[in-house]
Amino acid sequence: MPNFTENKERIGFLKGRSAQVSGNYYARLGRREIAREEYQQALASYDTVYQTLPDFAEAQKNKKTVLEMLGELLLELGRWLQNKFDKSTKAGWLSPEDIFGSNAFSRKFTTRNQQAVKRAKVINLGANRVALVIELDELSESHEIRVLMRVYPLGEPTHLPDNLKFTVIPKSGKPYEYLAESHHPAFETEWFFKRGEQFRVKIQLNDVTVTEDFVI
Amino acid sequence: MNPGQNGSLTNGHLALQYFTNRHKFTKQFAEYLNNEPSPSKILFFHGDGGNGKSLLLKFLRKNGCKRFVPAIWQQLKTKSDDEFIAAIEKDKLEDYTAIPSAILDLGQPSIEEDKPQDRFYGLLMLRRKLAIVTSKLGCKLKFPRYDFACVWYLHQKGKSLAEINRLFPPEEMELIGVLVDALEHSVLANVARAALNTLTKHLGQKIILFWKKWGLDEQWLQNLKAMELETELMDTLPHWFAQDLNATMKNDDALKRIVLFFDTHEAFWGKQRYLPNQFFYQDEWLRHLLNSLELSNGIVVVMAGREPPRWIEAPDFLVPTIDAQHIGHFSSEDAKDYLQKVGISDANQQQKLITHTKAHPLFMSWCADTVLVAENKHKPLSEDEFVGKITTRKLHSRLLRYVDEEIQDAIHALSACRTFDRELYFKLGDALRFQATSATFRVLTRFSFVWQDELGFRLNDLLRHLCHDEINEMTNKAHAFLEQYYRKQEKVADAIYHSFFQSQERGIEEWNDVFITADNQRNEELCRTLLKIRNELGF
Repeated sequence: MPNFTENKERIGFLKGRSAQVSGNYYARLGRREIAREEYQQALASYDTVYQTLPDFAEAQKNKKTVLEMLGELLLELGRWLQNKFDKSTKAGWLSPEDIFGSNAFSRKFTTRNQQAVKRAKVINLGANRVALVIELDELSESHEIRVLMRVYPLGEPTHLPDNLKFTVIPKSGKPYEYLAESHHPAFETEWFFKRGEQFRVKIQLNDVTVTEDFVI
Repeated sequence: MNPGQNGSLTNGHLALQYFTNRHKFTKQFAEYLNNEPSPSKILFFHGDGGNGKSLLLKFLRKNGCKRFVPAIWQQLKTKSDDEFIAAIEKDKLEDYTAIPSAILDLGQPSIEEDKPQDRFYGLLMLRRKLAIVTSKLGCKLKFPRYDFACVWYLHQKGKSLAEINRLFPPEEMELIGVLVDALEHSVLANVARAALNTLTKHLGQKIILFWKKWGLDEQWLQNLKAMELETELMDTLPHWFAQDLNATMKNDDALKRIVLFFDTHEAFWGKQRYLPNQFFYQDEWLRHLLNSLELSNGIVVVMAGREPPRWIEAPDFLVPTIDAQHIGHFSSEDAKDYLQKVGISDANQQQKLITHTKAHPLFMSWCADTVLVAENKHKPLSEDEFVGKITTRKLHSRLLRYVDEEIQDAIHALSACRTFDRELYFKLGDALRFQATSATFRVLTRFSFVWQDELGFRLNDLLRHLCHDEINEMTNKAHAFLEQYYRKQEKVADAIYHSFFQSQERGIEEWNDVFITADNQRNEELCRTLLKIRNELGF
């Protein structure tokens, strides 16, 4: 433990810790945006402490943890291609059969590539619930990753609600907003990304918006 | 009138006697209650702190919640603002129907389960307040979806029947008892499998009929059961509250209007306004509620805050149109009227105070306090007291110069309290050795900077900050006493609050430890309380 010339640095470190643990709390509740803000605040506090006390190991250790937590807020789709689902399962991404039941899913979902990885998540849009299903595979020639995103209604009614908007926001690039056709049994869009690319998906029904952040 | 003897200037209840001005807003409020169709807007009063927004809301609630007989209203609405006020003050009981209303002061500190800003407990407070007022007026509001979902949540969180009952209005005790009993016998815990007739057997036909009438069915119960408690269910509660209220307003022909007042909107943010997502997260439950209310059915929402809301920038739960009204300083005439009412009748003195304070309501009431204290003590104010630039620090130190030493000590000690009552005042006096007597308590609670509501007394935040900036020994000792006082009551969040003022390092360190444990133990209620404290303290 370094010798604190005054407790200003110690307080700075403790404030960083408060932001860090608050970030953990919000991440647990699925409030990713607020968690991200808290983590960024924690990083800023640890960086300020580092400027005065570069040998403060605990601050450095915490900073590393916060960076990892920030990374975890992004869903790493590349891991799915290695059949690693641990972290995404914690975030609610399950096999489509777990969500729809195996028979129902095979009836609903016509896959484009039998080998593609498929995961699904329940999205709560107020009184309506839908499932976001992602099908993922790597193209052999371009090495790009094909991301097929589909939205299905869950429960009754068996068609998509009116006014459902689906927006894909690539980190580098122009966002695209789609208006899902009402009374259709599903919505889909296909995108191609390079490894390391980040994008956000926003699903909006009237006043309720749910976002999911991904990195390939 | 003298704060040292009989009066109070902005004390929550007595201050209404001195309510001045705002005739335009009173008439506007009356239009919301009497015009048809009911306006689909939220009436939002904004303006600097101390401009009298809270007092306006209290005044409207106490004197303005009236729906006039149509013929009387037709006459009233053609009158000028001043004539209008004079006329409604003279109204007869047969001319109007009293409109039920409830006020949620978001700036009120949290006490026990009364946590006005909390996502769960804030809404429950509003529900209780509505039940009290409607039962007084002989009508009853029903919140079947909301009540049931809350009971479900609380039961799942391990709360006992006694704890759950305490959170609901007494008239719902019987229903809550039946629901909790059913939950304890696992009937509803297995509701996904339970058929309606099974529920009927355990809950009684009466309740099931009631549920059916309100559109609650197995599907709704199954959806509730499937919801994750802290996220999905918590997020949906404001919607169900609104749905229930909408249904009542639509189906009850006799109930033409109901008013929901929300005061001190800015209190949601404490010192963490600058984080954009955090910003919109804080009042999210309120936005969700407002967004789900059908105002056209006669639900009138009146709010007050320092700034107009930034809801248009929010990512979700867009709030219906806002009718923003700026509350400024008093006009010269209204300022004179106010000073006359509080007992300062000398025209020269009045003019001096108005010029000095630029008719700012809070500053004027502080100056009036000083004038009245000085008169009471036969200690004349010097000629140059009310010249030069006005600052809050100057107002504060000038007032303290004219009060007795024990009052000075008491003000400094009480500035450490987020809220206080008589008992705590005497305890502080004993512990810090200032003379705490019934007489000094009366004097103190009549000052303009002491606000009273149903939960106790509060010192104006501005005055509290000034006392803290002075690093006063009495304030510091009070924090040390209060820390121990709350530790004995096992109110750890309150203890941390007071420990922070003695040592930031110790306060934040303990906050971190307690928060980590609460988060690990999934003690969501404590987590939310601690986050609120952190927000308030700005670390």
